[in-house]
Parts: sequence; C-alpha cells; structure tokens
Amino acid sequence: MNNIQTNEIIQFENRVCWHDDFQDTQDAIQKLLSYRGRKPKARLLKGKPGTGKTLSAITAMDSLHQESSTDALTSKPTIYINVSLVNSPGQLLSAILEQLGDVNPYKGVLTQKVKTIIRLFKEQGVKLVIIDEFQDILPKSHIQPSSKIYRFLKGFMDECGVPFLLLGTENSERFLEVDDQIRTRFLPTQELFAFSCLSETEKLRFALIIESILLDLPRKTKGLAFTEDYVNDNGEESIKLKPNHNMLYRLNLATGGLMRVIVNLFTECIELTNANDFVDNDVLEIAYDNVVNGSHAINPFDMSNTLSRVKTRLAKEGLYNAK
Amino acid sequence: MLSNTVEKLEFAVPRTPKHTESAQGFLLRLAVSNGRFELSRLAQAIEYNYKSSSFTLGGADFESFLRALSVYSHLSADELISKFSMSLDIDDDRRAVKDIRLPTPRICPSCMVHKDSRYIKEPWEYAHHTHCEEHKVALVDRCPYCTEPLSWNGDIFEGCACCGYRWESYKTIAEPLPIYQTICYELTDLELKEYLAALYQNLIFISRPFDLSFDEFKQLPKDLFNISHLFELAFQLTVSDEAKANWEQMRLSHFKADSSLNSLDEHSLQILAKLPVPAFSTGFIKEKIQPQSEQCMLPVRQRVMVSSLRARNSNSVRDYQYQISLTRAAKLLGVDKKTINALVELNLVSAYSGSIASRARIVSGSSVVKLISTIMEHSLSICSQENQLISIKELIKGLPYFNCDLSSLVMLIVTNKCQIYLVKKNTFSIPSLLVNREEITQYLEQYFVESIKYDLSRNKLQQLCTLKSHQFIELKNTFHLQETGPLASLAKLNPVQISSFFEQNILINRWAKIAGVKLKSVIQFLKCESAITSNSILEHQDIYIYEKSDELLDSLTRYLIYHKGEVHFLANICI
Repeated sequence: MNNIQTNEIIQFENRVCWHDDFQDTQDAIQKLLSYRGRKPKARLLKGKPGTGKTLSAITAMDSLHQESSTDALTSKPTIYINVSLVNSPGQLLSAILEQLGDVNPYKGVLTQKVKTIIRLFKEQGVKLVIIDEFQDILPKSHIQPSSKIYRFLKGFMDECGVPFLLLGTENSERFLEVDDQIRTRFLPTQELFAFSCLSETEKLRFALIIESILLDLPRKTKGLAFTEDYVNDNGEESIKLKPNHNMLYRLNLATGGLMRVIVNLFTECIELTNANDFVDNDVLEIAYDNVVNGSHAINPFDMSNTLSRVKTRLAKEGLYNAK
Repeated sequence: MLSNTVEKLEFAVPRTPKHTESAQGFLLRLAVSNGRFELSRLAQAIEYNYKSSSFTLGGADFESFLRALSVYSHLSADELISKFSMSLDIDDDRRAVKDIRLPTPRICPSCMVHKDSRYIKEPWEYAHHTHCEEHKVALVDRCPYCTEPLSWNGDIFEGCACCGYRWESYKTIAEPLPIYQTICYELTDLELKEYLAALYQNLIFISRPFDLSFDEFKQLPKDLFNISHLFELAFQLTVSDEAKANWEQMRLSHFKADSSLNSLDEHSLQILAKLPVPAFSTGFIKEKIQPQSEQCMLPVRQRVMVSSLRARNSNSVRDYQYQISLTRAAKLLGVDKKTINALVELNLVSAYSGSIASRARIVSGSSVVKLISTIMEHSLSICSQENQLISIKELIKGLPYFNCDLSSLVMLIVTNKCQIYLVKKNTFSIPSLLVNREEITQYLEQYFVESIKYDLSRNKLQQLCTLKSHQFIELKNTFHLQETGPLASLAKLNPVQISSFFEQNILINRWAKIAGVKLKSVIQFLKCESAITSNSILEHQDIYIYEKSDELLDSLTRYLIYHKGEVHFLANICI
C-alpha cells in the first residue's frame, strides 16, 4: 500500500455517508440535547453491531462546537466513553475524567471523582455524554434495582445534569426494563437497522446508500449503478431501481447490510487498485476474501454462485423475502 | 479517532493568576475549576506531599509547591512564582503581630457575584484591610446566615460551605472606607511600617481590655469577631493620647472593682492599668487626619486573643486576664525574677508553665496580689523598735558576703517565720519590708556556715573575701590551705581549714565590704590603735588579716560608731 492509497483510505473513511435513518437518529440526539439544563434525560440508541451507531454519535459530536481551550474558556462539548474496557463504576468515572483531561484521573474514591466530574462538566461546558458499547458494562445476569451498576448509573446521571446517549446492542434494552424509575428517565429508544432487500423501498434505500458511498470512492466503478431517474405519473422526477440490480443482492449478502462492513469492503477495494483501475466484481471478490469475515461458505461475488443461490442465502439471513 | 494523545499532562481547566490575586486564593480557584474543593486535594491530584506552609505566600514550602504545580500548568515555574508578591511586609520582627494576615479567608460578596471578579484579592488577607475598595463593602469573614467562619474551601466562591447560603442573596450596604485602612495609601513605606506596628500593638491592647499582661503573636488567632470595630478602637489609641488615657482610666476603674486585685495600693494598680509604651512614633499620622469627634470606646473582649502558651497552661478562661510575666511579677514585688521563682517553689505564688529555667514563665497575677495582701495583714507597723530593724533593701547589699542572695533571704524569712515589719507607704515592695536585725543576722550566719561547708568553690570564696586571684593564691599559700578538685577554678577548699581560719582571723577586706566602709580608712584607723597587732605578712598584697581579739573588736565597733554613728549589725556577724 502506498502513501497515496493511505491518504485516500483515510479520506474515504472520514466521509460520513448519509441516509434517512441517520437523520432520524440525529433528530433524536438533538431532542436529547434540548434537555440540557433541565432535568436531564438519557436515550438509548440500539442496533446490531456495525449498523452505524458510533458513526451517528460522532456525527452528533461534530455538529456540536469543536473542543477548544484558552485561559478564559475551556470547552469540551461532548464526552465519548467506550466502556468495553471498563468493568466497574470507579473505572467508568476514571475514563470520563481522563476524557476531560484531568491531571490524575485514577486517584480518589467514587464520591470525590463524581464531584470532580460534575465541576469539570460545568467548567468545560459538557453538553452530551456518549457511552458506547453500553451492553458491556451491564452484568450478564439479571439486573435488579439493587444492582451496583444500576444504582450508580441512575444516581450519576441525576447528579451530572448532562444528557446521556447510550449506544448498545439489543441486549442493552434490558437496562430500561429494571423499573419505572429508570424508564421515565429515558427518552424512547432509537434503533438502527441493517440494510436489506426485503422490499422495493428497502432495496432502493440500500442502493442509494451504496451509490452515495461510491461518490466518495476515489475509483471508477463498473456494474455498481443501481438507480435511474424517471418521470412518474404525476410528472415529477423520481428515482427507481434499474431492472438489473443483481449486484445489489450480492452486496447485501456480502455486507449483511451493515454500514461498517460496507465501508471496510470498499476500503479494501481502494487498497487493491490503482487510481485508474475500475472497481468491479472481480475486485470485490478479492476484497471480500481479504476483509469480510463472512459466515457464509460462499463468496457472493463468485459468479459461479447463481443469483438464486445468493437470494436463498439472503432469505436465510432475513434480508430477502423469498415470496 | 477519539482518544486524545496528550503530550504534556496539564490541568483540564487551566487558570492564570489575576492582577492582585491572593496566592492561596488562586490555588483554590485552580483547584475548584478542576473539581478539587480543597487545597489538600489539589496537592494530592499532582501527588505532592504537601505541608501546611505549602499554600501560603512566604511559607517555607510555597515555592517548591508552585514548582511542582507548574509542571501541570501552562505557565513555567518562574512565571508562576513571579505572579505573586506581598504588598506589605509580613516579616517585621518589631511588630507585636508578626504575620498580619488572617488565617481564615475573607471575601467581598459583591465581587463574588460577578464571574470576572470572582477571586480572592491579596490585600483582603491583611487583617486591617476590612473593606473592599472597589465596592466599598465590608469584607465577610463568616457566613451571615449560620455565622460559621469561612474556610479555605472551594465553596467560598459561591457561598457558605456549611449551610449552603449563596452570595447572591447577600444584601450589601456601601459605606465609607474606614480611615485605618485608607490612611495606608498616604504613608511612605517607612511610615507605614511604624503605623502598622503601632496599630497591631494597640489591637492587642484593645482585644484584651482587662488583661494584666499582653502577648506577642506570630500570627493572628482564628475566630476574632468584629474585626473592624477592633481596628477602629486600635486606630483611636494609635492617634489620640486622650483616647489612650481614657482607656487606661477605664482599666484602672475595672481593676479597682475587681476583688482579686483591689487589695493592691493605688500606685500599683495604676502601674497595672497603664498600657506598655510603644516603641513606635506615630506623630506623623496625627498631621494627616482630620480631628475626629470623640467616639464611644466600648471594650470587646476577644477570647481567642491569647497566646497558645498561656492557653495551654490555664485551667479556665478567667485565668488569662490575671496572668503576668515573671518580669511583671518581679516588678510588682520589687524583686528579681529568681526571687519570684523561689516564691513559686515555696507555693506562695502560683505559676503556669513548668520549669524554673523557662524564660517565658507565666505567674498568676492574682496570687501575687494575694501574697501582698497576706504580708500586709500579718506584718506589724514599725513603732518603738525602729533601731532594731533593718530593711531588706539594706540587707541585700551585704548578702553576697554571706554567700546568699535575695531569693535565699526570702526563703530564710519564710521558712523561719521571721516577723515582718512594714512602713506605711504608697507602694508595696519586698525590699521595703523590715525585719529584726538580730534575728535575721542569726539566720544569715547559720546560712553562711552551712554553705561554706558544702558548697564553696575557690572562685566563690575569692568573691566572698573580695580578693583578686593573685591575692587569693598568696593567701592560700601563706596559710597552707589545701585544695581538692579536678580544675583549679572548680577546686574546693578544705572546709575545716577554712572554718578555723575564719574563726581565728578577721579578714578586714571582707569586713569593710559588709560594713560598707572604705578599706583604707579602716586600716588607717586600726594602725593608730596601739593595742592591736596585725598579721603583716600579706600587707604588701593589700590583704589585711588581723587576729581575732577583744581589742580588735572594740576598735572596729568604735570605728563604726565614729564613722557611721551606729554599730552595724551585719558587720558584727564576722566579728
């Protein structure tokens, strides 16, 4: 991989691809932010791994003011904590303190840390706390109102006066089901889904997201244009799927409709090709073998696998309606 | 993408000291901004092993703490240190209060309300700086709601740490700045030094209006109340002699009404009531201020304005006001400090701190007064037997020649229960007491003989005999006096030999000293007496030794009658 490719990959990965689900998520986050200064609320953003939860959170962070620090004003509008490596309230607080730039984040008892955090939130104008991989901090067994983590999070969220955005898998939902006390503190859960070929509309959405990604791909493509413009019955311009969109099924199977996998796949394509090369089925086939850890025994881009076989697989995954 | 790579670990919320910001106030502000609500927690955050002197400007450890702090700050150590300076000299040894900064913080509620002025200013730390010059508002040193004193706690910028009171709710009233504060700006550095020394000296007088003695302080105590009133009074004492006289008059009236003190005579009471004369000239201030109408000077006693030494050694708060220094007690009784210590040993005077050696020994003034009244009660007034009495003052002169001093004499009088006589006079003093000559000489002689036997070094004997070293050596060699001991100066003479020497001979040198006459005139007189023979071996050394005989005694008695008009009993002892 040469330097040009590295730069291209970095640029490509940093582009945020946009679609309607993400916009809904952003609106939900904006709603959450409006609770700052009032009795603060929290919101759970759930979805399968790779559906773009973190991407949404980062987009929201970017939309808030950038971090800055001068003598007169220190600003750090969002705190992002990945709790995968955290297994106790104390460690969570230390991680937050570290994010805030505290000089000694690991020292002190729980109450002291909370006090320090609240002050630093105030001083640095923290508007949103994002906790990623939320399911990892929850106990494996049943959560009860007496659970340590439950009591801690409830109290901590109350004390802070800052909205919390929790990102997690389906498994995170059980936190809200502990009792009414916690449920009433949360805004309705927002969910992100994987892209599928279940209906014409779904297929069109998937096609559009692929096309918007390809716009940023610094390569020419072959056979990856799925939509065309047309004038509908009312005389308005609209978009519809091209009759031949077989590659869409293959892409759907290859990526499982997950944003993260889609990005990974095309990133690998950049790495495999030069600036003037085309990204086509053959390149995708190699890229799939290289980076996608698919659960299928077959490579969806291998043309020896017929479309019907691909569709059967898709149906098994729940991404295609065989009827 | 989300992790911060920090090159240098700094405080999350950096702060720079503001103009005229107090050092301790800045540290607290930095601590609070970074979520630490006490200075100790700030030190812990940077893992610094702090001491009590780490946070105060001028403290022994202050600079090293700032250096440690600068590692985590965007300012270099030297920059940070250079931001702080003291506007006043806090290290004046002449001042009764050395460090004039208050140990607890004070704030201006109006300054604390606005974000830009929410910091503690350096001048506020000085005790006499009682008003905020910007808002003309009295500084607050305790919560107006719960009256708890403010402390160096992070909540101070918002309100009271104890009851949750917020400065926003404080109704400030602008008032003219007090003159004791504003005058500081009209004085030169030298004048200011003098002024502050006088002001703080008077502050101590004012704070303990009815005390017999006054302390000096390294630092002002915590919990002083109504400080601005105290300084108003102190300022009046500083600038007005009349105010000072009134204050002393008030003390005098109080002492006269005090049953523990009123047995003292008027003169002694006046001495006690008088405030010590300050060593500072403050005449220059009188020129600078407008003549003021006389104000009511209401004494406010401050419980805490007592040195820790006194507080430690007292059983009750009431004790403080009667405590006096050893020197003061000695002055009251007209004796030296050693005698007071002897009186303490005899349980006649009670002392607070333990050892005799302690220079800072404090004695109870009321016990001294009690002693005086007991003596007055039990003593007789002189009438017919005046010529048989001798005053202690006169006795003192001869004491060295008996190897005795005033404290031992007082002990002799007390242990032997000698009758004491008193001259009716204004002032009481031990030296003015009289005792019976015969009685006391008897005891003194006993004392001398005893001391000669047990504890008479060569040097001491030399002094007793009023001989110079070379004279003494001649004397020793001539009479073959034996000496024992490790060093020549510490050597002791054989007591038996010495006793027999003084039994057989009279050393005119010593006799003349005790009698208070000139040696040469005695010798001339004796030379004219034909019946007396002198031992002329050592006359060339000016040592005059006469063998004891009735003729010699007669001659000496005659000499005394001729020259002094009476027989001196003290002199007779040696005869």
